[in-house]
Amino acid sequence: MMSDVLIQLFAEVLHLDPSGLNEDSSPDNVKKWDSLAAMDLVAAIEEKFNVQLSTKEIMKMYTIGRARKTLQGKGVAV
Amino acid sequence: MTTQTLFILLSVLLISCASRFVPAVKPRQWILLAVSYFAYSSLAGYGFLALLIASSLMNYFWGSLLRKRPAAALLCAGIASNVLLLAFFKYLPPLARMWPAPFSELDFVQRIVLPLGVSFWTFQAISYLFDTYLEEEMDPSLVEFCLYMAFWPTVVSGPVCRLTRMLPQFRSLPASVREDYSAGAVRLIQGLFMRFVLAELLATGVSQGGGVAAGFDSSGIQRSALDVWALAIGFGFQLFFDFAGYSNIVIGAARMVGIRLEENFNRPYLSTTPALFWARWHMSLSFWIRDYVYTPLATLRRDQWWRYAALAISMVIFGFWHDAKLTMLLWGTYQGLMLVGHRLGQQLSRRIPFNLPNPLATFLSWGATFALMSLGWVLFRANDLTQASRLLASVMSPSAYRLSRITLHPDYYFLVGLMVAGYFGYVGLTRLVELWTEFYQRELLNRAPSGTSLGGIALRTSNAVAIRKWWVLAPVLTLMLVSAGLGLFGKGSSTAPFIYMLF
Repeated sequence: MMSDVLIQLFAEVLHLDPSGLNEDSSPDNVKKWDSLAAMDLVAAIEEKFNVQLSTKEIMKMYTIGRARKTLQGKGVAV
Repeated sequence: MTTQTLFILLSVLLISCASRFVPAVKPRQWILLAVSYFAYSSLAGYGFLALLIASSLMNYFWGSLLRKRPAAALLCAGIASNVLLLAFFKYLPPLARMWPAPFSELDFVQRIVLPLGVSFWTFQAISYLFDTYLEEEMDPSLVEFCLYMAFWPTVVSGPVCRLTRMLPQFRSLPASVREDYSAGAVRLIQGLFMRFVLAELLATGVSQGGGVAAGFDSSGIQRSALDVWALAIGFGFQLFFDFAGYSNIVIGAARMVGIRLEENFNRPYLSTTPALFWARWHMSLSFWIRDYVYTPLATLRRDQWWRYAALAISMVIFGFWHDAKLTMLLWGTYQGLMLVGHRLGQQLSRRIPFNLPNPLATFLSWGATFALMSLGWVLFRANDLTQASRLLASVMSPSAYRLSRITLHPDYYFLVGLMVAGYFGYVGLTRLVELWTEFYQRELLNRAPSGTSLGGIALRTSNAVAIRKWWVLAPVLTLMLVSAGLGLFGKGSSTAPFIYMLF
């Protein structure tokens, strides 16, 4: 399933099991998603999907669901 | 806190609680705004109330512009106006004192007084501007926005709220009155106990000159290393009881009014890493710094080193916000370096094919975090850099660990030991109760509780005590605890101010 690609990426960067993540996962409910990990995620997303994210887009990507929406808005099929 | 302030706050609480029975949203908002302005003017004066209203109007205006055109330039202008306002009151006087005459002697600079809560309502304004720029769904009316800025439980020292969370609550009529009164009253009483008994006891000690205050403020005494550790840990717990107690009071009062605020502390001294500590200590401000200082800063470059630099810079700003003092700048830098150092250590440990047994690793990690955070409080509390260096030098000197060099009163060691043991005992006990309740709730979902079964008794007791009966005791216990706090320490009608009110 295509949607798993994003969750897989988050799990990889956060060193977590993908089954513990969902669309609502955010720094509020994922212990390892701290400030530095958030920027690691941004770098990983940009590299994986070959996109450039603006400050505004990054600030809006507060949950995995919102990250997916932002990427879809940039034409990435996730 | 004086008895007059107490009377005003109790009246405001009663009126706000009564406003829950107003059957329409808009009149209720007006009542809450009126009592909030009354409370603020009673505590801070009409001049600062005018400033709060002016700031609310200014930010509502910026917000309206940003809603029409969410441009970065507009956001920057809005933020700059808030930062300038804060800097004028908070940083101009201390900075002016460093300038040579005649600047340092200017009459108007010397007369500048820090408006009560200015940092907290300015942070809320900035978060509103950011969230509007990010096109979050919110369209507050002027009354709603003014209420958000001035909401009386939070206006003085937070927790720092977000409009996205407050607005839906301002617009609904709270239904669970009884539950809110009960849960709110319990939090309020817990907070009063933490602030007016535990924090006060640590500050003043059980005997004359036997508290944290005397330990840091007595001049000319060379403290031993054990003294410094005891002072650092004692102050850390005093600050925790003071501010977490204050937060409990605020969260409890707001809950009684029907508003659920974000938590501000979550068992911070159980943290096993510095990053976790900052996700559990003064959470509302810590998350504010993360979302509105660190993230915009960190996104400016993609290099790994810049992420670390952005984190360190954010923590320095965090330190500087507390006070324009060198010790606070160093405290912020220390926190930033600790967070970066922890991350580098994590990366290194992933490359080393050796792992300690999990419980031992967790314990060591917790111990290191607790010790390093406690040492940091020395910088936070020291009166100046000379004192901080002297105290920290003592910790680093092996000869300063001799028992014969202890200068603090044995009462102080007993008190700190008792507080630390009490804290961890209480935290452990509450966790056990939580697990016990969860277990019985799960059990009870599967079978109807019989009259004499343990589960049935547990459920009925929990309902009766926690939901139906507790709140009745609240006003009586509140008065008793505050009276005890006011009288117990021989201060007549006043106690020390909340520590975070000074920021």
